Amino acid sequence: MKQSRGSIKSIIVLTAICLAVTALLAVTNSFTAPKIADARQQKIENSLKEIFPDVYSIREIKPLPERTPSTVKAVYVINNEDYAIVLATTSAYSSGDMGITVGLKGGYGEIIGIKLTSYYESKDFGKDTYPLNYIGKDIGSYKDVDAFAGVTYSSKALKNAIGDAFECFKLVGGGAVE
Amino acid sequence: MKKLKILTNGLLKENPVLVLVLGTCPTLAMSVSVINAIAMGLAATAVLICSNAVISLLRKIIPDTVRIPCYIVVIAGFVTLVQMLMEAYLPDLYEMLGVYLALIVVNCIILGRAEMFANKHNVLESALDGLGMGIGFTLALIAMATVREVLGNASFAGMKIGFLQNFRIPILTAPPGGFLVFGILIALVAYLTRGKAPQRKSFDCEGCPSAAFCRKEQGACGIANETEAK
Repeated sequence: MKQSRGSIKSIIVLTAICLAVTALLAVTNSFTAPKIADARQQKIENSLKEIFPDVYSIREIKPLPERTPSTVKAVYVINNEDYAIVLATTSAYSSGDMGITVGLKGGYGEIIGIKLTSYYESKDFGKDTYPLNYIGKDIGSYKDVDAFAGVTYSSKALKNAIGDAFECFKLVGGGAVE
Repeated sequence: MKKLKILTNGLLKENPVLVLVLGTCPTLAMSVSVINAIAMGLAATAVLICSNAVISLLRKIIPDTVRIPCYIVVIAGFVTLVQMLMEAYLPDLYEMLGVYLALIVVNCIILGRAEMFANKHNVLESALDGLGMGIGFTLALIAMATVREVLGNASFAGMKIGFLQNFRIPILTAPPGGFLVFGILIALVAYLTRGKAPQRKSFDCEGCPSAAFCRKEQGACGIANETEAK
């Protein structure tokens, strides 16, 4: 009897602590979430400007076609001819999404530029020269880029995301990628 | 006076990194640059103070059998809170800390202080212990990061040091260099605190922070049972 009373007390205390912590996090989330969303959107906009420095018009394609890969979060038509595809993927053990913006040239869809907008693991991966290896590649040649030693999961995730970008490019009628 | 002693304990005599050798993973990972070290130190200090205070406040309510899950929930809650606030208001710092910010949840210093100190002392003393240990952790990280960044990268807090550019020791910024500097600093602190630092009496049950609890549970500790059987 005494033992079961002890067990019930343990359950009640642990549940109460979990609820209190959840409430605290919910309150914090209510005022940090809009700021976090704004900061992420700002990063995406900055990445578009970096990939397309002479941008004069940006149009978002909404809604995205059916069968668009789930990693694709947004597609923009830049200057009425090129495409920017925003993706969020994960690299297996990641604590957060890897945000990627891929700039594709209209027509055959060569990669013009690539930017990592969020990455929470080996932090130099997105800033070093590795993503530049994809520039100039198209749907037929992007798989030739090797994985990056020491960041194998992330570089494979990046390659898969680029594959999804090409898939989406075909769906939105970006050009003759076949 | 007692409160001042609690606050200063973590600085050198019971420094969590260089004497108690806790939190080695973030120490080695985040001591490549001084800015990273300060950011990690401050984040861990905030979590230490808050979790110590809350655990001390709840120490009479939390049953012994579920104390570790309760501590982990409290610590994880504060870490998530710090993460949210940092991502919203200090996004550059948040990105810099990367995955190591979330790993504060499993930082031995925080769980260790909850178990060794906060569940036996009042709220003020526990918060002071958290502050002292946090400052000790931050100072240890800064000391390590200064050596590694200045000698390994010829810079300090991101600012280049011109005359050292040709005398860099790049291995210091790599993991082996981290272990090397860590070992040298531990030896230095051991020399400075000769006889003052807490000594581990034994490596069996008696040396374990949970020994008292295990004895109370009569057989909760496997090693004790084996010893008794012999």
